[in-house]
Amino acid sequence: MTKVVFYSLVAVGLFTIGFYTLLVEAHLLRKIMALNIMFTSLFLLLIAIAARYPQAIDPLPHAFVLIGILIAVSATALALTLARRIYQETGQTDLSEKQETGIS
Amino acid sequence: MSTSVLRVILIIVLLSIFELGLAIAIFLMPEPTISMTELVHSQLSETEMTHSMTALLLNYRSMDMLLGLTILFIALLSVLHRNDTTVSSQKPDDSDFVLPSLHWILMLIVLTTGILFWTERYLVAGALLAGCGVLLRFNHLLQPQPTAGLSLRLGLSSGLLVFISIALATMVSGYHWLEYPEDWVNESILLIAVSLTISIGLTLTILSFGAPGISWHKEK
Repeated sequence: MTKVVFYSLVAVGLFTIGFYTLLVEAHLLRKIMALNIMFTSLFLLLIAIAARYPQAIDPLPHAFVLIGILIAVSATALALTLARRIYQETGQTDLSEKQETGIS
Repeated sequence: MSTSVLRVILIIVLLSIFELGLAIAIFLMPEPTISMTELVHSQLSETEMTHSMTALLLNYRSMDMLLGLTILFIALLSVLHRNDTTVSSQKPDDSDFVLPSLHWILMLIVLTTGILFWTERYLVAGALLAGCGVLLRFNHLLQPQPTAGLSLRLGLSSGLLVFISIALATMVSGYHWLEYPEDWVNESILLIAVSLTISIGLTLTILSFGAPGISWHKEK
């Protein structure tokens, strides 16, 4: 059980690091990378939960991780497309409004 | 102190409380009462599958798989709707790495995809196909295009289309939602597997290109 708790706590730490970066960093690419760190921490948590049984590994969380990877890839692709669109429209790579008057 | 420093400190304090709550939740996690492992493996013979993960994805949790595919398709739509005229004028950069023994690597990839497909790891096989597409792009054999052709569109949507039509067919013919009829288990699973692998491979390739279409590179 201690190993499960250890990996779950690491997952919580990773999730918080990603969440902090998501809130603090202004650059859109860094926000997307932070989102990916949060996704990865969730996978780590699911894998840790799968190892809770003493006899064998629980395959259900593993299947959820596979579906989760699919969703993480989709979300990253969508976010990157949006970020590229924002860059094309406004010429900046963050969501601040300070340069908006000069362009249009 | 400036307001930005104060804001960062506030965020750190709030996140520490948040993390503490999550850690407490982990320590209070209840012990499992039933063993899912035994349950899954005892029912595995009924699904005609050898790999427990694929049985989970396509049989027990097929609804989650369907929804996951739908999310991937929505992400794909955002790329397909990109009206960007710069796509066709993108010149392949000559400084990209060009592998001298590309055909050997491609043969190995195709072989590995076949093995993965044979052992019922369809998602991984699709991802490997997408990796193959990216490799071809870097070696100037595939070219991004501003529009997608009909066959490409069919390939992209085949996974979702086959999945939904089989789900609807089972529902109309009196079975439960996505409960494969006994005489057609192998056929329907194979159909779903082939379309799933192809559409995931194509979708991931399109997503990594960031362009609505692909075509073979034509020598000038």
